[in-house]
Amino acid sequence: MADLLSGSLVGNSDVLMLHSTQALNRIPLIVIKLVSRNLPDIKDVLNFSVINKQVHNLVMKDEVLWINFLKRIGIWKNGKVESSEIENDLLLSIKISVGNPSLAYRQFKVCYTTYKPIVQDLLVTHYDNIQNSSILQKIISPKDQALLLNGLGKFVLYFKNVNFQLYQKLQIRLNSIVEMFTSSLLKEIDHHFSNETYEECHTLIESLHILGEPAFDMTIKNADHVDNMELILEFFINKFADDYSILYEVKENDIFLNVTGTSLQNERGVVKGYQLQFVKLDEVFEKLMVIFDREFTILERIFRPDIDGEISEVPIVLKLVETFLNNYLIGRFADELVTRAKEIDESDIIESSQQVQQKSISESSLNEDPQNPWAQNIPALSNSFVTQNPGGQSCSDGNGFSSENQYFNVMNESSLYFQLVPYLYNKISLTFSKVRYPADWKNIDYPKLVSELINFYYSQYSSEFIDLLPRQCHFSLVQLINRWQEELKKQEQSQEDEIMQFVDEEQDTKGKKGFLLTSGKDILTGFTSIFKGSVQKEEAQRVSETLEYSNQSQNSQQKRLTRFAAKLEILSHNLDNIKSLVSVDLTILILQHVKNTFLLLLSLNDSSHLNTETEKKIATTCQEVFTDSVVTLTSAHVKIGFDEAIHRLKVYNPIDQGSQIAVEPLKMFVELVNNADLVNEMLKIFYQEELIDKNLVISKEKNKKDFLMVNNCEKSMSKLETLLDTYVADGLNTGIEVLMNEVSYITMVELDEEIYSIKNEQDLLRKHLDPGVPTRFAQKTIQVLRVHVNMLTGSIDKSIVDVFRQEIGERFVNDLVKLINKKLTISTIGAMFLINDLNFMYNFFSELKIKPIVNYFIALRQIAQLYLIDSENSNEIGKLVVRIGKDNGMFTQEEVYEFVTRRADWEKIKKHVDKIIYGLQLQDCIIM
Amino acid sequence: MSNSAEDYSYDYEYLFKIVLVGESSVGKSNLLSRFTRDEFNIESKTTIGVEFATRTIEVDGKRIKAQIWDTAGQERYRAVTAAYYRGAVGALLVYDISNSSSYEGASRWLSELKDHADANIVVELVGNKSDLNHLRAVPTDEAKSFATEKGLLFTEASALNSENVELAFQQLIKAIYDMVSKHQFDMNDYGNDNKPITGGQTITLTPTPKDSKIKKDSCC
Repeated sequence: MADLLSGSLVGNSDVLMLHSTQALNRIPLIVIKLVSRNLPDIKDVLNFSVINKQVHNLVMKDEVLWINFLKRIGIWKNGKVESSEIENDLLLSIKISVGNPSLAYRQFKVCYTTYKPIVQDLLVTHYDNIQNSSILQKIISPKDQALLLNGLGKFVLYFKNVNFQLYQKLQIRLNSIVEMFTSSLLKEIDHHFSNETYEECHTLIESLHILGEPAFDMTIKNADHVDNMELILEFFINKFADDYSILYEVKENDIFLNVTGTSLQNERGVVKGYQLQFVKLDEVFEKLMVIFDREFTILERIFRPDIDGEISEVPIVLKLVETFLNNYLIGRFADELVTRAKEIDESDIIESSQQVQQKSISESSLNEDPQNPWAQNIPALSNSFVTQNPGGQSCSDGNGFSSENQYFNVMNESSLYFQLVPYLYNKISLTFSKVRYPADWKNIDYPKLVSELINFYYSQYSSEFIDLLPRQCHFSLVQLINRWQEELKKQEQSQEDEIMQFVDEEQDTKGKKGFLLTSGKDILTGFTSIFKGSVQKEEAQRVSETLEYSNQSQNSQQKRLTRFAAKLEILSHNLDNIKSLVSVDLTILILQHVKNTFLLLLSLNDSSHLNTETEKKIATTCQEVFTDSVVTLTSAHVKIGFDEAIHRLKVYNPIDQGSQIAVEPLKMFVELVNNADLVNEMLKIFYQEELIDKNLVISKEKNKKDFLMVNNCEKSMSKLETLLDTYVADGLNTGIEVLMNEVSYITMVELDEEIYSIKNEQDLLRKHLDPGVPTRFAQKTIQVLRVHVNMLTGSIDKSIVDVFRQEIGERFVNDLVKLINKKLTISTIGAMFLINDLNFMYNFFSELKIKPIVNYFIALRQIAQLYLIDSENSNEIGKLVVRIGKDNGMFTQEEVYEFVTRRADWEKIKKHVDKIIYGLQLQDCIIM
Repeated sequence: MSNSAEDYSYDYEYLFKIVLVGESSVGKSNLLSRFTRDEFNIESKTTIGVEFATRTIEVDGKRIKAQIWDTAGQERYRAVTAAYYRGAVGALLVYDISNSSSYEGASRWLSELKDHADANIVVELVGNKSDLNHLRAVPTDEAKSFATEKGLLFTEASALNSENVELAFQQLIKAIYDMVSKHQFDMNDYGNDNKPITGGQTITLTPTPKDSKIKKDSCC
């Protein structure tokens, strides 16, 4: 093969040798093909092909060669065999890509023969004055011209490999023509746009579109080419930009109205003297809606779907909206507002706490609503919160913010930032969901796409908001709780002050004397006058209120108290206040805060957020907020409340309370426990309804739950529960202590030891005693126990009640045994009273069915028989001590012996009894 | 009737101690509660030791306070039983008409009374649970003749439906009163200054144990 080439091709004249059939026969066809394929210029190819017929045939039928040419001008598409006909049309010949290899030669021929003259005509001959070019005289319509230029743009690529310098020149020239053409098109569009001849606009835009398609060679200088569609977009944005100027016509001061010094400054939502003018913002959004309605109508007319499917308005509409959101509405307008809101929030113009207080008070008085059932029992402070949408339901209308009053709730009323961010989001979403988009001819879900855009561009504000809100909520909760505690303290203080006002110094001295003389009677009268109707507390309250607020001077004489009585009254008020130490109302307020926080958070959760990071973030944040609220409530309120309650229980001195039946602090404590249980229950319900039911927490089926799956919310709630249990236990412990102190006190006051040691029946008569009736001591102690034991029933867990009862019973028995063994002396007649008292106590405990205690009393009843027996039967007594000691099951023989020593005649009978029990006496021993 | 001590403790002229005896679960406690409090407890438990109740009634214009000791039927300690009977002037010996063994135990209780109680003690035999007539195990006549024979008062009563409960106590107290009045009259004859006291003062009948010849006022 090498020989052949050297001999026939190289060694002889080029052309002639090739013309010789002999030589040609020697050259393999593949070489011919390769040579032809590597010739860049079509002229060379043609020249080459005329070597002989065989070469001609070979070249003309070499599909690869012609495909390569088509590829160079970018109209070959692999695998596309749609047409068996070539495109002969001048303009379309180069527009449509070819995929049929058999057509390649013919197609390129058409292209070349069509465009080569045009290149010559337009870019060479008449470049200086293209108006004279024959082709432009022939092709007049902008659309066709665009097609032509587009085709030319492709065709000049042919020259790239032929003559690069020429190519560059052509390319630059073509570019300038295209630019001229483009700008004239734009001018035309502008003209038609202004004249509202939108059909023309459409054609022109289509021309631009056609023109814009080819990939102009970017390597060529001056080719900083802009996509024509972007040009169009830019055109519309520029056109519409004037509309958007309404965003800048709104003055900042109109939106952030400084209301300092006006009557508005105490309104809700005013922060540092500034009030957001939602009405003004609403107006802006209304205007925006009108603007977009109009713009979309225009776009719809320009990009009439019925013309053809070549270009669509979709990218334009979306890009327009996107640009508007990014550059105007969110990126600038909203950003500026948010920044300003933050500035105001953080500004130094801080209202003094006094002002705040005044504000809250004035609010409360303004908002006082007799219909509101909450208002009656809640201190003034709460009214300001409560009257607004209790339960937070009125503002949950899907968007969260519909009517004017609901742009803010308790959560965000103290921050313009927190008012503004959700408002803007909702307003923007709402506006763009209501705008009339161009006719939906391609099933494009504009609202959905646009809302995704909104979410995207607003996400930085949303996510910052979501990050900041829990902190704000926490702060607000702490503030709320603190204000609540302060208010409570203040109320107690003012109660004390009021009570102390009535202290009459003169009577005080008398009172003291009286107190000393009558040993506490004075206190009792003081109390009875105040608590006359402890059953009808309301009435008592009303009475005391009238006393306080009506004509004080007239009543002052009747209401005069001694200092001592006054202190007692304060004490009892403090007890009354125990139950308010853990407040259901405060919990409602807190949960409302949380609910409002949720509303704010969820208002950022558009349906388009489904299953997105934002949705997850919002859910997580809601969980965090709830957990935080439980933790805060626990640590800042419940814990403090119970600590205080238990402290008050501890310092309570029953002696001060005179003859009151119920041990007040214990009763109050039980009510407090009830409150706390209610609080706990409320949290659970809230968790179920607001978190689980609303899918903010994915909750496992109850029976599938395992302890590792417990989330933070549940953890915090169970912590609270545990805490409550501990406090209930502590409180009951203290309560039992207090109750037993009370019992001891009653014992001290009511016990008449003489009854049990009564010697003869005359004394019985003298003392008006009846053995069928329990003594006052027994009656009173059992009465106190009964009240407290029953008080707990149903209010706390039954097992706790049982423990409480048993504990009380055991302590009581213990005290009673001590009383008998240390204090009483019992005669045979007095034994009747002891037995009767024991029977009475036994009946009480057997009603309660506290078995161990009942057993104690059975034993005590048996033992008490020992006191009935006459002295003469001392031996019998001894035997009985032994028998009962063995049989009773509760007391040892030694203990039974202890009891018998309390007999009035013990000294007399001791010897005999001991003999029976121990067999030997001291005197029986003989010292040797 | 009131249970409050203040109401009437000074407001009686005689105080009689009466004991309730009889076998376990014949209904002593319920007879007592029916009489003193007009209560009946179907689930009443066995009495432990002794229980007390009082009620004041009027006999011949005199206010008499009955201090009734309800004893445990199964009390086995003699010393304790003695204490129960000490100073008692009346006794209700209760049996259950539907339970013959409880009736059979009556004579044992009677001898117990004889042993420990005052010789003058007025005893009434009470057949309780007369509402259980369809389950009757003790014929009325038999009990009645036993009572006559032993010089006891007799009645059949039902603590459950109150039948004859008032009567049982009333007739016992009346009998005691009659006896006491007679005795006092007798004592006065002997110059004893233990006379009926009026104006809120009270006496109990505590005749000397040796005074066994006082005639029993038995009627039925």
